Amino acid sequence: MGERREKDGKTKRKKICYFTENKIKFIDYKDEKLLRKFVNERGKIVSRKISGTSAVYQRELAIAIKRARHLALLPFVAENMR
Amino acid sequence: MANKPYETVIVVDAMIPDESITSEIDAIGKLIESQGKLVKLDRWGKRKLAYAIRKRTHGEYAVFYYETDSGALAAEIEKRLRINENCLRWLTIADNPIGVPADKVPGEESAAPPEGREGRDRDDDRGPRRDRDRDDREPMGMGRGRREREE
Repeated sequence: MGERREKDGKTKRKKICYFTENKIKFIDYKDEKLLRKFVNERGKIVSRKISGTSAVYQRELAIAIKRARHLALLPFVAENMR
Repeated sequence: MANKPYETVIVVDAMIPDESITSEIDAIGKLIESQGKLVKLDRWGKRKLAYAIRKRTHGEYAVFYYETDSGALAAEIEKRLRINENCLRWLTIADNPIGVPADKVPGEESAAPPEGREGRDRDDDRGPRRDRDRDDREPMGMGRGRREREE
């Protein structure tokens, strides 16, 4: 399983929710390293469609990222991320 | 009285002398001790801010973990911080299910297992695939078409 053959011949991999996989109970806004993975190089929150995060965790994640932004751990807008 | 766990993160201006930073943090610590129980004070030290706040590029981070029976203490802390020029940012959270971190080095222990996803995906039963490397090399969130659009 895990991949599906599409009409056009491309295979699509089943996306996995990082938080469900790792059984994370609360997404910590202080964990900058983790949050950085869910933000693109512009500092925007990566959509569920792309990251595969489940709906429940995506909502929590958004809150965590916004808290981190408030504390200047993450940028609101990034011209160039590390 | 049921004690509730709180945590407050403060960002102090790192441009002021070290003693002042310490005294600012101690002042909050004392205030917490007067009305509740300070479980842990976690100082992250000086960090670069993700963006400039009031023209400051660096901040001293400190996290207070404490227990108290009402929101009055948190309100009091925030009231003090609001009029404190040296304090750039703060955030108070109640009932954080993670609780108090076990030891030092924040970020190190909590961000440990990123290999859960990648590691498994990669060496499972899968044969080689043409589009694989391109896919895998990109950090998460970089779909193919999207990149062109954003840059």
